[in-house]
Order: sequence, then structure tokens, then C-alpha cells
Amino acid sequence: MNSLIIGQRKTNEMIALESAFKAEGFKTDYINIAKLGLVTKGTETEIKADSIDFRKLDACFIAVEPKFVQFVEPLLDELADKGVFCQIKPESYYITSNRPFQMVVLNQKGLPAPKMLAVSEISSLEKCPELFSFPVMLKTFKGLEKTQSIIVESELSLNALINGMKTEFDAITIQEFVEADQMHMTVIGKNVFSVERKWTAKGVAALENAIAKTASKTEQETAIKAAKVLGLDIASVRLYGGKVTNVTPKIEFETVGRILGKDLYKPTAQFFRAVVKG
Amino acid sequence: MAKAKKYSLVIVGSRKYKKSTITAFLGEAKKLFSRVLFVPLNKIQIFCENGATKLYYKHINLTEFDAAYVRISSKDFVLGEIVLDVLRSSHAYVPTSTESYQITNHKYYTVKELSKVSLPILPTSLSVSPEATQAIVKDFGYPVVVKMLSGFAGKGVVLVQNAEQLKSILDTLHMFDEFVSAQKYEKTEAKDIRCYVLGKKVIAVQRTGAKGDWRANISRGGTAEVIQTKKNYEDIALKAAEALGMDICAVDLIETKEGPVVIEVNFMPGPFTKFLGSKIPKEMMQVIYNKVEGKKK
Repeated sequence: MNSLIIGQRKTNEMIALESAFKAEGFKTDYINIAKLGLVTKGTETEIKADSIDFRKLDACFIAVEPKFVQFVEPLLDELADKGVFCQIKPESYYITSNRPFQMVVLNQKGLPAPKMLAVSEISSLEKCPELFSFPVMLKTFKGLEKTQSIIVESELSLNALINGMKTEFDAITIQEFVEADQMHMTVIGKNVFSVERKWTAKGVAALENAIAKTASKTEQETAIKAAKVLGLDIASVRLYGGKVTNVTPKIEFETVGRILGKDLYKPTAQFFRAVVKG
Repeated sequence: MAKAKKYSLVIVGSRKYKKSTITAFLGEAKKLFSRVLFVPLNKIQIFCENGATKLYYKHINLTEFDAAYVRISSKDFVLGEIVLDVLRSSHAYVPTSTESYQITNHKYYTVKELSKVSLPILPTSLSVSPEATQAIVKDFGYPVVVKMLSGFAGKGVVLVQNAEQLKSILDTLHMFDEFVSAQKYEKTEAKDIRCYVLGKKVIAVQRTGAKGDWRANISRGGTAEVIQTKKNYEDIALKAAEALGMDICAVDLIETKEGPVVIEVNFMPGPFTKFLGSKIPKEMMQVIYNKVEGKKK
């Protein structure tokens, strides 16, 4: 079995993941995404990657930031066409990298998600008091980047913001604010590894300070479903009060593994092996 | 006796829409539809709760229209993808889709998808880094066309003559985090054929570039005229539109020694009213009306 890991930097996590794949019987290489190219001629597309022959690949693990979406999406399409298993399906990067779009899709697919209003102009938030109780969570986006995340306590504060913000945004979202601890869940196939980030006066605790906590059956099922509907077999899913607030292909192998005292690389490689072996 | 107008249509435009173009579309739409509304994307409110997503303009629910024609640019993607997706999921007829928007706004991905259905395309590449692009372009040979992925109206497209020039351009684009598509250059006169796909009908327009320009772009001073084109051009255009899931679009082709090749497919084609009057908006609105009528029967 041949596998390839595509990343941005060869970090300790990537090295450990490579070892885990090898331990499961894969012949594994790592490559930096900067070395990749896609070339289409006639009716054929080729993935150019140093000396790696993609025709011989069985599986590919992709670990790059959302900003690479314009390269990753056609790459995912080509991997799917070539029958190479990847933990990310085509279209997933388009959806997960666009946070407001992600929330709409989760909502439409019946996942529990916070109520949300998305607009392009701050003045369009006038409807907000009719639709939400305060406090609310306001986020702004420029392209794929979230530029601000603020808890807005009252209609008065919102009006002050509306009058004060002069920048143009690609999107502004208002979401119902769920004051609860965050469940940070790592989904690997049908397995879920969860840690809890406590809510404090200063906001939710950093992931590094999370504690081990087993998610409820409902939370686990929600996380698995959320990943699946967005085309991900392996994902990090965040829930507040049982509601999904973010799904990303990025896995915090080291941090979550350390908190749980578990190796997350092995189940990842095992999942790939199970899929490839059929 | 004039046919009674029925059905409602919403036209969604870009934040920075061209007024004359929208006026042309609205003028033709009002001849067919009993209710026509134009909404720029930046005025739409998207509200989702309990499994349902609604699109509002003021207090008007846009998902209750019979048809929606979305004309948004690549820059509008953050909310544009949502609006398209929600409208497509509603009962409204929408001639395009989120997938077609994503692909046609990606110069390389368009070529890749068209190659899958054996449509004639030029060798094209996509890479992240200048180094990877340079290695690939060696195979293509010079000159080569380098394109910013989401450039439009001829912007962000450069004809590169040699490796030194390529390196300089790539380094600049890389600074701005732009992905680059390189394409083998076929020397032609600065002319191309824009085939407007209007349902199963094709109207071919020859575009001629301004003097001194190697591209055939109207916005850069070129001209346009309707022509009678060969059947194979029409067949290619219809097949391209079908492959990308679009009932309305424009497929740009150039003539090479081996025959016509597709250069790009346009999600939001300009109607060239300066040269063609309201011909294209009229045909587009008729396609939409016919589709709604077909759906209702």
C-alpha cells in the first residue's frame, strides 16, 4: 500500500503521522504542497510531484490551511478520479474554508447549529434585535479570514458598532451566543476523541488548557454527522451546548493526544488502512 | 392579444454591478415576468435557523420567487456561494449552480473539467509555488500565458516570452498570495468567438481586440459582432455548458491549427449592449421564462 502526506511544513506532527502510516504497512512519503503541480493536456490530468507517481498511490492525507483551497479543490477532484483515498472529499475545502457557508450547510443538513444572520454590510444588521436575544456573537470576514469575533451585549452596543465600523467586509455574521463549555472533538472515522475547553470570564480556555472529557452519545453522533455532511472522514468539530460552531480538517494531534494521553496518529493510520484494504 | 405576464424573477447582482447591464436585463425581464426585482448581493440578509435558510431583501423573501438569475463576480464568493446554494435548494429555477460558479471562476479547474468530457483545451497547469510553475512551463515552451486564477475581463493575464520574465512575474504574484495558472500559448489574431449558451441555443459573437492587444477583450477597447459560426463551435459550447451544469453562460473559443479550443467559460458574461443592443439579455430572460414555464407544467 502506498500513501502520501501533503503538508505545508514537515513538523513533528507530520513526522509522527508518517511513522504511524509506515507502522500500518504503508510505504509513505511526505511532500510540501509547494512542490505540487497539476497539468491538464488533452483528456488527461497529471499530478506533478517530484518523483512521486500518483498512479501508484492508494491513499493521501492532506494537511494544509484553508488558504490553499484554490489548489486543493482541483487536487481533491483529481485524487478522487484516480481512485486515491483521501480523508477530504471534493467540495469540502470550498465549504469548510468559507465559515458562513459552512454554517448554512450544517443548518440545512439538519445539524444543531446556532441561529445565524449573515450580511455584507453592517447597516443590514438592523434586523438583528428582532431575530436574536442579546448577547450575540458578531464575526467579520475578509475573504476566508475571520477578522473579528466580538460578544455584543446589547442593542445599544450593536448600534454603537454599526455606527463605528467603517471598513468594508465580505461577510458579517451574527450568531446566537451559547454560553457553555466547548467540546473540541476529533473525529476519526466513527471514533471520537473529545476534550473540553472551559468557559471563563475571559472567554473559552485555550485548547492547550483543555481537559479530557468523554462526550455524550448525542454529541459524538452530532460530531460524526457534521464531519460527514461536509465531506470529511477525519475532522475537528467544535460544539457549544450541543450546537456545532466549527468543523475543520485540521487535527490537533499533539495537543489533544497529550491531554487525553492517547496516540491519535495510530487510529488515523488504522482508519486509512481499513479503507484501503476494504 | 398579448400573453398575460406571470411568474416572478429576482436578479442578484454583484456589489459593484454595472448599471447599464442590469438595466438591460431588467428591461427585458419586465416584458415577460409579472414581478421583477433586482437585488445587489450586499443588500441580502441570510438567516438560518432550525434547518431552514431564508434570503431577505428588506422584508422580501427571495426564496419565494419562481426564478433567480445570479450575476456575481469571483470577489463575491463568501456570501455568493451561500445565496446560490440556497436559491438552488428552493423551488425557484436557477440557471447556474454553486459548483458552476466555483469552477468557472477558477481558470484551471474549468479546463480540467472540460478535458474530462473530451472538449478541446490548451495544455494548462496550476501550481502553488513559482518553482513548481517554472518546472512545468519548461514542457509547454515559450511564449506562455500566465493567468491569475480569478482574473476577468482580460485582467491578470500576461503573455510571457521567456524564463526570466516568467520568474519576475511569478515572484510578484507569489507576494500577493496569488495562485497561478500557466497555459500553452497559441498564436492567433486578437480574435475569439464568444458563444453565448442560452438553453439549447447558441449565439456566436466574434470579439476583436483593440489594436496592439493580443487579447480579444471588449472592455479593453475591442469590438463585437454577431456571426454565423460553424456547427462544431456550437456543439462545443453546448457540451461545455452541460458539463458545468449551466443553462446560461458564455464559452470563449479560439481557432487554432487543430481546430477550435475552449479558453474559458463565463459565469456572468457581459451582454455587450454597446454592440449588440439588448439581444443577449432578451434571449437570456426568455430561456429563464421558458424553464419556469416548463417546471410549472
